[in-house]
Amino acid sequence: MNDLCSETDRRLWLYIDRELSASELARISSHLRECATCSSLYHERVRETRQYRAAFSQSPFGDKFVGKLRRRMVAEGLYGTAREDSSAPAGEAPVEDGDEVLPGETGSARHGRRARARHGLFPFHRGRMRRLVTVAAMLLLIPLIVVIGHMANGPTPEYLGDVTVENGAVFLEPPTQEPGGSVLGPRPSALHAGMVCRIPGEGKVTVKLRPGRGAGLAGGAAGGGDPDDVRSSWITLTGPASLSFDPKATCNEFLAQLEEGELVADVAPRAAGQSFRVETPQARVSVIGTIFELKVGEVETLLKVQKGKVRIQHREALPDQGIVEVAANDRPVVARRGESKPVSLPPPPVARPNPAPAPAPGATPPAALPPTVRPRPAEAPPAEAKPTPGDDLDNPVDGDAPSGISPGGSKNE
Amino acid sequence: MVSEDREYVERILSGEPELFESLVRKYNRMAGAIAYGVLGDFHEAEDVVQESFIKAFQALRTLRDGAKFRPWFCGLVRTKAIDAYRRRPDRRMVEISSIGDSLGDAISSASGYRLTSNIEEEQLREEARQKVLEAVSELSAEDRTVVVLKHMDGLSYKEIADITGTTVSAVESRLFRARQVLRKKLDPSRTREN
Repeated sequence: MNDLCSETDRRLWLYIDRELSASELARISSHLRECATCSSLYHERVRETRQYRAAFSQSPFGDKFVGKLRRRMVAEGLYGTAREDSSAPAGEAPVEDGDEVLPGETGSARHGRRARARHGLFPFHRGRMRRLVTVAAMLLLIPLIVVIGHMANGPTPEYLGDVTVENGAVFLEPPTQEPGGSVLGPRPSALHAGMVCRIPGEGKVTVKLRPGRGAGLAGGAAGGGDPDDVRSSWITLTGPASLSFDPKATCNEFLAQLEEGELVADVAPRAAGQSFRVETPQARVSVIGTIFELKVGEVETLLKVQKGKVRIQHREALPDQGIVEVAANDRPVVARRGESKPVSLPPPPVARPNPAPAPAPGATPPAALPPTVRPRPAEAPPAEAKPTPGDDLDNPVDGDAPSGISPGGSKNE
Repeated sequence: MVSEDREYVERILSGEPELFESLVRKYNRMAGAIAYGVLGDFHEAEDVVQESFIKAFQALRTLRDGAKFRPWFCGLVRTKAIDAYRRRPDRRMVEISSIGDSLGDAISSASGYRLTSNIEEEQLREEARQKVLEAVSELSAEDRTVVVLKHMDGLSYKEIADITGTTVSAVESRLFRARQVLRKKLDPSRTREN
């Protein structure tokens, strides 16, 4: 173990947590690329990080908490009281729990409102009561749901399209309580809303969204002269990756959550009222008709647009705030936690000596589209040369993370 | 970000109460991490965070500087969580989701013959999650708070230090120590550290 190994060993968590300066990150990145022992330790730590994150993924916080609290505040008539409070006479004592008096409110009404605010609908401790009611309801409902499911075989989730494995091991997990789901084979598999596509290691899948189809595979093959291709959108997912298709998603109102991995989307033009959205832990991305790449790490999402225009905003921003429009040929945009809006990456500090190198003898000539994007048969591929996915994306921030190893462990797991 | 909070608070108080949801969206994970750090129980933490947001909404006009919403709200959540902890009859620190267990049991028994490898995989994942949560719940309240703020909310050391009222180096060493403890609990065969 040399000095660099010792330093890497000592600072590995700081590296994973991105708490080092750019030069320190670069030094450790470079060492990790060369030292198998330290690289192995790095991957072990990244696995631990994922383990912890997965454990907290079931917490009741996030979007579902926001909705629950909104319903409660609306039901209790709380939205609106802040405005009335703000018009209270100056010098009034600070508001305490239930102390405020709404205009025109009688004493008994105030008492009732305070009781509801403290205890909800039940005159018991809310947490304990809620848990008791939840357990009782589940015990009654679960057998009923299972029986009904057996009788009616349940509603069929919306058919979205086909998934085809390009390479590697890929899991397609069905919506909860649906049987089946396993490692995908070489033939296309039907994709339904609510499914989760997981690529645990290196691997790649192509998803073809097929609007207007009823259910199941039509013809049993994706692509290949299908007249629907004109209206179809394509998604290519490169592992390690996890893409969850929203249970309410349809081809026309598409929504998916990209937890990690690299995604390239070639989206068919959308009509009015149609949408195509992808959410990551850091950002919301919505498009009309375009080709774009997304790369999700632990702390940031990188967006690069190849054709058309894409809107990106911070995941937690208001619907009309912090929106950044990214057009083809714009610098890639990165959305990070803790920032108010996505920002463009600065241009690389040093120009490349050979911006357009000639292909090596025997090498495949550069395609007009990235290899991960299939051109639609009825459309001519874009004339301009496109950058290869991962070219600039390998190191979104400082340009010195090793290929395949990035802090936060979005790769190589 | 701080000036954004000031704008939210000012607009909420001047007639746009629905904007409070933006603050809820922004801070609910952080508040959840603080409450879970004290209580070690997601159900109780959720109740505490709900109550804290309602209290914050009602008392918003007492906040003189909207830019200080975050520290003010963090203090509120911590106080409410400690109150909830003190109200516990047995002062237990941990309750690993009994509802989750009973749900899993009920699904297994009710649909026994439909138990596919997929459900088994999900059960294994759930077991792994519960194992990690159990290990986290055995940490001290301070260590647990730091671990949860890091891994549930993805905060930086500086942000965690601001919330917990310590220094960045204190956060670093606490997090390092807590992860070391967790590693030993979760995989005793792995002895190597550093």
